Amino acid sequence: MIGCPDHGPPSEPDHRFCEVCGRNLLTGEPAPQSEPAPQSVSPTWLSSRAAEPACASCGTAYVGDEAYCDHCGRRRPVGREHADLDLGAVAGVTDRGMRRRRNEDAIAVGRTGDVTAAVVCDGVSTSTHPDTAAYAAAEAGIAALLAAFAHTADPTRATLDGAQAAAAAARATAGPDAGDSPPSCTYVSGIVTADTVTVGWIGDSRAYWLGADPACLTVDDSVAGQLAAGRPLPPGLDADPESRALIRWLGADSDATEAQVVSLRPAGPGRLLLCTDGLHDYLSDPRALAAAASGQLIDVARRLTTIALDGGGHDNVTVAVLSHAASGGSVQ
Amino acid sequence: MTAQFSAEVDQNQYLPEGGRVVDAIVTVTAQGGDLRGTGAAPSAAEVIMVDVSGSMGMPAQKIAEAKKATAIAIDTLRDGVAFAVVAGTTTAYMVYPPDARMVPASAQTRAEAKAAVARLRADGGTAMGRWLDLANYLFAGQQAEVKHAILLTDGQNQHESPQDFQRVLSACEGKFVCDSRGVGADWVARELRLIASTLLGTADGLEDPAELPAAFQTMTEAAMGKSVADVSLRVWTPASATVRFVKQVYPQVEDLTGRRTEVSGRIGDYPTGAWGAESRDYHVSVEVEPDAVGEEMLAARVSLISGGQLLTEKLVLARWTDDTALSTKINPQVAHYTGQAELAAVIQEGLKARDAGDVDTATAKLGRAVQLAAASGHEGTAKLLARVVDVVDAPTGTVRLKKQVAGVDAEITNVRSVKTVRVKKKQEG
Repeated sequence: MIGCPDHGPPSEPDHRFCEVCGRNLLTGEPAPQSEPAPQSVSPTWLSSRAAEPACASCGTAYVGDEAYCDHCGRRRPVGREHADLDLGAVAGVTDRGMRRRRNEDAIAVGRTGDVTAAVVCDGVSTSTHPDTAAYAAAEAGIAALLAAFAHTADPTRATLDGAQAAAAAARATAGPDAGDSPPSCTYVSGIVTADTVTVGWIGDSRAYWLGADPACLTVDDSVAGQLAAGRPLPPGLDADPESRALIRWLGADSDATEAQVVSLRPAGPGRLLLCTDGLHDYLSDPRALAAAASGQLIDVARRLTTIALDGGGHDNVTVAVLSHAASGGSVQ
Repeated sequence: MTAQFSAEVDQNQYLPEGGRVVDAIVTVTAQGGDLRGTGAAPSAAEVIMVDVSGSMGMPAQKIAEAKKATAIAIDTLRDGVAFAVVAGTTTAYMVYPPDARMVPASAQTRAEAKAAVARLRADGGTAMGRWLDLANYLFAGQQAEVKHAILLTDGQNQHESPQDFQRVLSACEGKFVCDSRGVGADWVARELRLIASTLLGTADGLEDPAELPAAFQTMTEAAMGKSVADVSLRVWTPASATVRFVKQVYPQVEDLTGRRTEVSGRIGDYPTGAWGAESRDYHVSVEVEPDAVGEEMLAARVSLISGGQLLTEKLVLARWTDDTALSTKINPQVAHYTGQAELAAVIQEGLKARDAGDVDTATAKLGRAVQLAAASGHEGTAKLLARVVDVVDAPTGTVRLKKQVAGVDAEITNVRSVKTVRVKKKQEG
């Protein structure tokens, strides 16, 4: 036998088993069903970072990782205007929206073994180059979160480690010329294991549990969010219930490195939703969100994004959806 | 020890809708020793050109101090630095070594050179082009990285045509750096500034021949202290942009715009000569195609290059905004150096008008100069201006031309017109 009927020839000619399904390539016998198929337990993730080879303004191919087009001088976008990320049991969509010139949100989705995770960051539009902070935070966050989970199997520890790495990465994006508005962003992460759903956040991007008893899991780190939750404000801030001003964020001008963490042990199946305010400004009611959350995860993410865009799309919108299966259930 | 180049950019990045002109002051500072990390200073060659025209003997103190100064310059050379001493009249001849070549500095060659200098006699006319021509010939035989010359004169370049002089200067351009000094009352600021501009050196006048030895020592020490040779200011601009000008604005104003060498369609190099431990400021002005409000563009990438090696690089940005509080903010550095460049220009124009007998123009220009010097706290220039005008009211620039002005006062004011001062940077909150 030269290769696997389903997965082709092996990567090395002397391999005796298919790397994908474990079929014995000498006997043609499929891998025994009682044992799990060999699968990678090393963490993998993807983000919506831009991969365009050429400048959208002038069409000139980018040189190296320069931040500006070498021909016309236009700034190179850090993230994609629109991205669909789909790893099956975790999926996400980010979109520029209808009004903003750039998409300064970032999303990363990943998994290690059967455990899925996502990070969503929203660049603070009043800061300089917020997308650099958002991408640095999202990518450092998911990588550290997955690595910490692979190491400790503790989702709370992993959530805290991820946020800490994200804070350091966002802080490092401030160049010497950043001035008084260095790149900054919000952060929300989610990790779903066989029996727990854990979220961590810094800022006003949110996490919702969309199951039998849908609920918003996060409390916005904004003046309005703190007041609504009956929490005290840091000194020196006006108690304006309309104020969206952030009280915690990531960036060189922030000391926040410790995420607030909420963990659940859901009794039944459901979805974990992470989103930026580009969505929850249009749809924030957990029941309404839950009603839109059935079907394939990528379709849920697309549907929620469309709701925000149809509502006016005043901001960048980013949605990540993770599946928590009932014990022994499927990811459908 | 490695020479560390660092750069800072001062600019207002914000442009109003439709705004096209981006101005930035780039401050470049070199610290430390040798770029190549070998610890050895770069090889150097030095030619000293001494005016021995007849006027140098009137008074005899001039030639005496010039000899003393040359001896001190010779003593300041590092061991092994190739050197030569040239005497200049209507022609140029070798003082040391006797034949047209250069020799490495050593105890013996220094002693021989000083003995030869001591025998110099003042006799003849002045044709500086011939002197520079001989220096250029001497340098051509040298592989040294830093090639530096000192030219001392006490008179006007009478014995060759301006065209011949210009032809020699053009031939020397980029071959060596030359500092020029005038002594006595008859040198011409315009000629010395032309040499300094073309050959990337400094120009100055000395009021008293007794200042010569110290001046020669300073120039030679500075040349020996150069650790990186042939440094270029490299400016990248985007496709649709044009470079309005590139000027050195500190320590003196030097318009480099016309000195551009094209590297590629969007990149040009401007020569800055050799660098020791020092700091210089450049004013880069670029005109860009306006983009929409909210957009950002890289208007220029400014770097320093030596021998193909990138020493430091900074970005000049343009952002379009509808917030007039941002777009109308004037950068204090840009404003200061715009004023310093205007100061240099109005002094030169005012003195030229004065020489031509155009009292009204001279009064207006020099009055403006007094006003700018006072406003920018440029005390040196304010003092010099007070030699050619009576200041009635500095803040408004009200002046009267002095009736009696020593020729040398006007020349010193002129030759030093390009010297600038730095504005104290505001403390960052």
